[in-house]
Amino acid sequence: MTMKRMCSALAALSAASFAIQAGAQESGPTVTISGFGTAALTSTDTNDAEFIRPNQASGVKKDWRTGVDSNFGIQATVKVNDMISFTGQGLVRKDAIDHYRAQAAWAFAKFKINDDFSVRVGRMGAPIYMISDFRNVGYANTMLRPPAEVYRQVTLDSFDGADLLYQHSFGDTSLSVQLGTGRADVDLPSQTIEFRKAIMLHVVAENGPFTLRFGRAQADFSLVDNPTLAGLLTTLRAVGLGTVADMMPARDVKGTFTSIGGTMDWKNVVLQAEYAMRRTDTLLVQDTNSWYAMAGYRFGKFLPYYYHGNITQKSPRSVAGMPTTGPLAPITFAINGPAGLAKAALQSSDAIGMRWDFYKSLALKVQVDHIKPKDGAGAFINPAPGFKGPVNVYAVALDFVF
Amino acid sequence: MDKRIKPLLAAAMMCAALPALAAEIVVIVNAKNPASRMFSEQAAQFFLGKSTLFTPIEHTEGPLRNEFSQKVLGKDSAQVKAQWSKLVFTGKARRPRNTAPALK
Repeated sequence: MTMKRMCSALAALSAASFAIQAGAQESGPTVTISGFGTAALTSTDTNDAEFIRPNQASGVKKDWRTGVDSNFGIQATVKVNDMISFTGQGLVRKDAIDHYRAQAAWAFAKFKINDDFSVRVGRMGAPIYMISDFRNVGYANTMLRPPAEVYRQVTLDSFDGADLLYQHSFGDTSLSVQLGTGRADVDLPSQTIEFRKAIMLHVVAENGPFTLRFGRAQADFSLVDNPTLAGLLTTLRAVGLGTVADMMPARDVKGTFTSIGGTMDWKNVVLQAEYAMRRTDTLLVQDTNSWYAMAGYRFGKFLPYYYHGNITQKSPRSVAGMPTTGPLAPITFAINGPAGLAKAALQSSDAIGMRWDFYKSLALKVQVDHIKPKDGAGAFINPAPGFKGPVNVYAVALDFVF
Repeated sequence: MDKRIKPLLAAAMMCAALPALAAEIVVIVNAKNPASRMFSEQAAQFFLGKSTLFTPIEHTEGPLRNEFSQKVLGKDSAQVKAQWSKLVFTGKARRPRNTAPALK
């Protein structure tokens, strides 16, 4: 057994020929092109609200649509030599602008300092969540889409700046640390968020089938290009509710996001879970705690799974002492009403799904989510009056990589 | 030149005999590599992108590679591919190259 399990490391000593080395050594820059994508159809069982992925301007109702869960990405890496490489990635999907559009997801230069350290400069994926880096790569994930309860907390995909990567093995455990700093502007359907002085830490420890991950991100952010919000804040001050306006700063607000997660892929059991806390100094971006846990079991090429996700709000869901009658009632409604500014979108999800690795580099997934909004419309958009769910979301997706 | 250990290249898995002879799978290491012995768990780290100390070179796709994946990496080939797509599309690592047919 031990002999079989042990790989013979044939370290024939120095006199050996250079044949293998010469055959495999590269000269000059090498270019690698790779890509990924998902072709998907999504629908729900209601016409009273639209289901979206975070940041999308429009979603699906009862009619099957491709726009929510489909995407296509292509990546090119030019390796100049052992030290320097350039990577660019383009991504096509539907988001805040309501049609498919291409984004320069990443474009960075990577400098390898030594076996343990690298530095990257340019536009890179923001390591906010455990699967931030590959959340758009359906093939790399078990679930059809990242659980919205956690993954809609911070709408930051990439940042412009620099980061330091550290990777080292301690016996059977490999540790990787990513520390980045920079800035980003994120367009949302109703406004733009400017992230400044962002600092992101991402620590992953892997040992055999187990992965543990800790993340911490902080930034000063501003909510801009939102005339409705600007008008409301001006009005609050004009009518003597300046103290309320002071609870809702929209410029240079400090925010933090702290998360911990883990995965296990042991024998046929697949587990994945994350817990995340968002904290800010403004009522406009509410303090929330969110989590999900997924469990799956592999039967050969089939991987059925279940997950539960939930989000709760830690900051007050309404501002006390505001007039509920008279001419100022509409302002109060805008803040404390069912879709008011003080209210985070709360919901819980139960989902079952199946991944089927039916062919080389292709995976077919089906997933049904049962989503229960709480005290409002949850993460659904354009709700009809009185909408409160629950909603079933159906999706089928074909993931590929090349 | 500096004295640090260079990731000289590494390992190609290879089979010297026909499968019917119940050949063992071996990991071939570059002659200049200082490693004198290696456990399969360590080899798996290189072939799954968890360590970049050595640069792995994979056998071309086929039954032998599948057997290697199962026995040494403990994953089927689809799982290995999914694992690599996590790394490749972060721009943090590149998939191992395949052996040239001549090496088979």
